[in-house]
Amino acid sequence: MPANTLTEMILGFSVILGILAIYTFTLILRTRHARKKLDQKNRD
Amino acid sequence: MKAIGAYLGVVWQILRKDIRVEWRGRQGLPVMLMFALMIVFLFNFALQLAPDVQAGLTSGLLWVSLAFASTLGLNRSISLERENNALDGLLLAPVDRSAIFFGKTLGNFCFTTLVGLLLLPVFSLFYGQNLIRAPLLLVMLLGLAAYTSLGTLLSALSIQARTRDVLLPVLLYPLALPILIAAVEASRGVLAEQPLAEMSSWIYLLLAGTLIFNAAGLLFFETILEE
Amino acid sequence: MLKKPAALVVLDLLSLTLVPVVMLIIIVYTPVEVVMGPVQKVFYFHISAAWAGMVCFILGAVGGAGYLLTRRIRWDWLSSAAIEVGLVFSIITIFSGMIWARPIWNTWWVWDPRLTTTAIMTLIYLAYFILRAGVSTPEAQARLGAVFAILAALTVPLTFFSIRLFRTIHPVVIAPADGAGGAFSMSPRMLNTLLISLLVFTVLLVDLVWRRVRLAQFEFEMTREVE
Repeated sequence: MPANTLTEMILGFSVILGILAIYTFTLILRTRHARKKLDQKNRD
Repeated sequence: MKAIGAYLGVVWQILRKDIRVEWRGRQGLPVMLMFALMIVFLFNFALQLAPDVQAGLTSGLLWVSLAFASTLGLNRSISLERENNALDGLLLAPVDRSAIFFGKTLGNFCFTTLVGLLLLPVFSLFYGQNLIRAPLLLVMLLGLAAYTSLGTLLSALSIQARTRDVLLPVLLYPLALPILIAAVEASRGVLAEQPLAEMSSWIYLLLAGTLIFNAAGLLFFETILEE
Repeated sequence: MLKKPAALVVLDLLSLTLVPVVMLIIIVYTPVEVVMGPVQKVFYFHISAAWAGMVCFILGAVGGAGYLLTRRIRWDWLSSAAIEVGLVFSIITIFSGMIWARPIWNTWWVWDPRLTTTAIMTLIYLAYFILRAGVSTPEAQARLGAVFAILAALTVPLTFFSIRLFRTIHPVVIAPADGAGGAFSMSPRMLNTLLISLLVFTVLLVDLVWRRVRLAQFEFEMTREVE
């Protein structure tokens, strides 16, 4: 009988997807910030 | 032929200079030795192990002490150049700058080996084992050859940063880990009276490291020192 | 340059759809492992993340070499972007490895070669960013970073082999909770799932690295306009 490790599996996947999501999120934020500052500079 | 002569000349010049500075000032070596001994005492009290367990840790402790102590030497060696602006003078010479790398590495190797040699009788005393044997010396020389070449390379890298002295350990220790593991394991085998053939994998690892890091020095040192 | 290239949009969409798809496959199509139960399914992403991290670090070294050879800053963008994304994958590898280990070995950490090497690599590449942060000019960051990225990639196989050799000599005697030791044989379905997983993570890594390179490009343009 397989061990009941369902909670661990959910934890594992949450951590993996969570880290990926957080990193992607920071990428999006940083890119928008850089774009905005670049547009500002171009306007001057 | 003349180019090689000039190259080796610079290597020798740097080695001689470093030895002479150390001989006159006598600051680097005693500090390194003291630092190594302090680490031994520190571990002794921090870990509070039974004497027989302690004896088994001798090889590990030896290499930890050497690794930490050599950081002092590596930092000092490279900052010598910066202080006196001697590096700028050397860089003007029409010789490939990797000569500086080999000169510095040889200097660092000599000093660290000297500290190691002085540590062996001390360790023998503290841990009731005879560490003064030829196979162990071989392992130590080989391990230090790999370690100091990597250390010299990274000391040149770290001196370019504002965080200088602090950066070297951060860069060096993770990269040097395979070398340290191999050196500790080979030393452990020697102290356990195993034939050298059994430790061939570790020896090959140390040889590989020495080769790779010296080749890297040859390739990259000039690039690191660019203005 | 400001407009997103069509290929990138496609890549984004691919990543966003493939990840849920492969998760569905893992949960529905792939059999549950007989001893470990559902937690074993984390293994597919664990291995894929380790693989992705390795690819990223090699890419980082390639980028470094490219910069040193051409001195064109876009190679540095590739190098630093790949290493940053590689760090993310390494962290994922470590955490997923820990979560997988917990129910099986009853401990949060196992000193097995792959996990230990990944941890050391994480330290090495964190040091990469510490090095860059400590250096003042973008040119020096690129140049010194490139040397370190290449050195780091060279030491990874050394590290892995030294730890593996160490583990064969000093096996860890931790009794696994189930007695199977965490090993399992892979059915054809499991193998297929693993291959799909690897593919998806490769797509993901290309997407993330490309986006990170674009960010580096924007930031570079920003500093350049100041002059």
